[in-house]
Amino acid sequence: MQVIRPAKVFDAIVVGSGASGGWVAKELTERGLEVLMLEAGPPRVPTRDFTEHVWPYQVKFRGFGDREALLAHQPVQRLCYACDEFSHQFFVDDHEHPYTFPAGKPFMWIRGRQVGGKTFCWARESYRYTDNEFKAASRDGFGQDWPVSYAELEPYYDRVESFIGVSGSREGLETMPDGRFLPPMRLSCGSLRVKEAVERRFGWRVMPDRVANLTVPHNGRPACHYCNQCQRGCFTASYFNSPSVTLPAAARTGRFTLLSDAVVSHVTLNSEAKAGGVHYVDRNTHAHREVRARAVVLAAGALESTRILLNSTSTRFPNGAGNSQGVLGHYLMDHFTLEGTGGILGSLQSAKREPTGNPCGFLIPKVVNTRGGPQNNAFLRGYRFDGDASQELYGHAFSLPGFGAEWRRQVREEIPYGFGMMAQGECLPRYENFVKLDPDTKDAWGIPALHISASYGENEKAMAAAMRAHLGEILDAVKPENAHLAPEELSVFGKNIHECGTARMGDDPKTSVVDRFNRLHDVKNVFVTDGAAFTTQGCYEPTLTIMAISARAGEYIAESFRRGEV
Amino acid sequence: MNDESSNPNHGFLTRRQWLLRLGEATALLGFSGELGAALAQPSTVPSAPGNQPLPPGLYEPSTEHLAHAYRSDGTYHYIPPGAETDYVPPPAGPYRPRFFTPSDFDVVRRIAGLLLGEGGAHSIHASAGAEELGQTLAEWIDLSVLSAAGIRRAAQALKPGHRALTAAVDGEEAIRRLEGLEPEPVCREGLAWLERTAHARYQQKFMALAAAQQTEMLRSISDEKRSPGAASAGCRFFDLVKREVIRGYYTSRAGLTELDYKGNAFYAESPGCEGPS
Repeated sequence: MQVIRPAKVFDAIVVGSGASGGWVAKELTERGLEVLMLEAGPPRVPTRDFTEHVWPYQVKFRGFGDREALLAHQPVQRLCYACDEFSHQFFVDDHEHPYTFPAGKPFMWIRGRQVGGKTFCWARESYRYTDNEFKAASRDGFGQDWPVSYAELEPYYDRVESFIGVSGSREGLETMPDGRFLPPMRLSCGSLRVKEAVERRFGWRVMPDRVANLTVPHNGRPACHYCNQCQRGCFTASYFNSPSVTLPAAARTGRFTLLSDAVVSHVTLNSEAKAGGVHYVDRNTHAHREVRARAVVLAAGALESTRILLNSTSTRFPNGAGNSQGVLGHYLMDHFTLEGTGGILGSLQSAKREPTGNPCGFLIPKVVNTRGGPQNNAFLRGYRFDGDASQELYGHAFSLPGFGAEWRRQVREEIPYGFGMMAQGECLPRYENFVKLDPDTKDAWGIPALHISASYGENEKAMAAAMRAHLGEILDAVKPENAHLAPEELSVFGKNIHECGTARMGDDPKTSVVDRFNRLHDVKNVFVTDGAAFTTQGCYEPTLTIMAISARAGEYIAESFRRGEV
Repeated sequence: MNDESSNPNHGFLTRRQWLLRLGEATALLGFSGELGAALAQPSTVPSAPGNQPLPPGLYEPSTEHLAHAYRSDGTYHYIPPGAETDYVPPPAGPYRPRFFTPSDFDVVRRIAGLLLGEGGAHSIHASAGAEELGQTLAEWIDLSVLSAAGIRRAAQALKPGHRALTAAVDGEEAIRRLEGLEPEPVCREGLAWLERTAHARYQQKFMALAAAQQTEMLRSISDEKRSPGAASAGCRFFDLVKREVIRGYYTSRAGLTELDYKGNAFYAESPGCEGPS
């Protein structure tokens, strides 16, 4: 196999162009380093690929999706709520990107491979972690702490929020600190009803989601205009995605080279346990190439970064770089959810349409097992709720008997107002939840695929029972018509697309893969900055924390260069 | 929706207001030139003046596409070369049904119009508009039924791992429904039932009946009050056509206008609750 190896040695290679990679590249280039970014997928072209403001009648299947094509090419991705007729182009072809799981342990792996990664389609919810997450082990005895604290990460949360723009309300909660916010979005009438009922019954805080959407112009980007189609792409760059926010900042330094369509297979290792660069396969021609750098940063997304490390073998590291202690691949986590609670708010039925288009709903932050909150000893850690309330568009027509002008009048003038909620719980990090390379399955570029083995345990099941009980109490407080409570089943592992862990941070090289600055214990010039590095997960979305950690790691790497340590 | 007469309350912007705001945003971004000229440009993503163009895959905020969306007041969207989205092209000629025979297509068109209230005392559309609506809906139903065979095949061909995952996420019933999706015999048997019944009751073909008679036949298989003797072939066909009429009408421009849909719009501020909650 011929491998092409250009002579240039970059300061750093960053693998992955999403939430993590964008921040690392921005920090490194702004601090004077020459960076080569490799992205496995193609570039997206806004005028070709974005579909915001397209009407359902302008697409072939009216927005219901080309189900034959989705089943044939994206049988996994189509299970994601965000992969539809308008946005499926941002998700992978499942046959080119296979993976396996054991019978009885289904795993739903949702991926977007393009310049920007999953940042086109993420739900944009942005909450800070606290020492309730970073030091959870010290507090309840399970697992191990992160080697960093909230105090150390706080300036990076500030930096990230200030740059990307996050809208939110100031609540003064210890469990979820306020950030550098743009004005919050407003709640719908139905959401206010739910808020009132929950606050009256429980005294819990109900607030608009904190989302990385701009409510005012910010850093040269216009404010959101509330079409609620973020996952279709956004011409005005009014929500955070890396191609319109962090990557241009890196590019403007003049020290940033982006190579798309470059599928990285492994880190190249020399005999002194240092990385020389990475090996990749050209996505289109399948040519094999290598590029060289003094440092390598893996930011390909939690499981992909770990996959690259597992595939980076040498005599010294026969089980993969970073795996000398057998920890790499283990402690996989993903939030679990109970979905499908809600009902109809009868008193809000109307003949008049309300304005609609907020790209966010409402959040009830974690209260159970927090300081000062209700304690439940049946499980460790806790959960939070979110939801939304809005008028039905036409769904009520399906259950309205009859036909003709009078039936149509009812559809038009008797508009039900629905609300829905879900609960999201923390998954404990367990060694038994892991990924490894599948020796029998390869992707379209000949790179070994992952075998993913994960299931929820007794703590999650006990927590789910409590979540469901609370959802029932909320229904009792709100008293909707046609009330329905979430079934008992936990969501399938991976469904919440918050997969974290598998290359966890820690001070002890025997029990962790990367150190407090995301540097591999085993290989001192390789870093992992995405969700793979998480040691715990909390019950909140990981992306803001991924970005804060990446900004911090980028700064640290640049300082290491300045001190001559790399 | 976005025309000059739209009610500008709730932060909902009229076309003129939005174009002015686009001008403000354009100025903020440092673009030079008049907004009118910018709107007239072909679809490209401009970079800020004086800067090197960004590498492929990166982009600056742009207002051009918004102007394109705002200008679009027709049924058809511009089709970008190489787009993976299946936009509907303007028709090249008269519609040729692909599942239904031409005469069955006529029947489906008539039924779709009757389900929406064509020709009734409370019909809100002029007869010409209703005809066009019925045509659009019949085309949608033709596509929907035609697509079923491919969906069925693709669902049945799922690899075991993918099928197991689908069943775990959406439920076993959901995947079985896709594997067994068979609207074709429902349509064939339903249309046959209609003809047999029209002949038995009125000694005529269904399409030769008056609207009132056709409506009466639909009432007999409607989901409103199903009489014990109602033929199941007719009822199954009614349910299918009604479901597809709902999907096809309320995703059409006419249907969304009738619903007074306030989404897919441009708001100057977060559209929240205005009145007392």
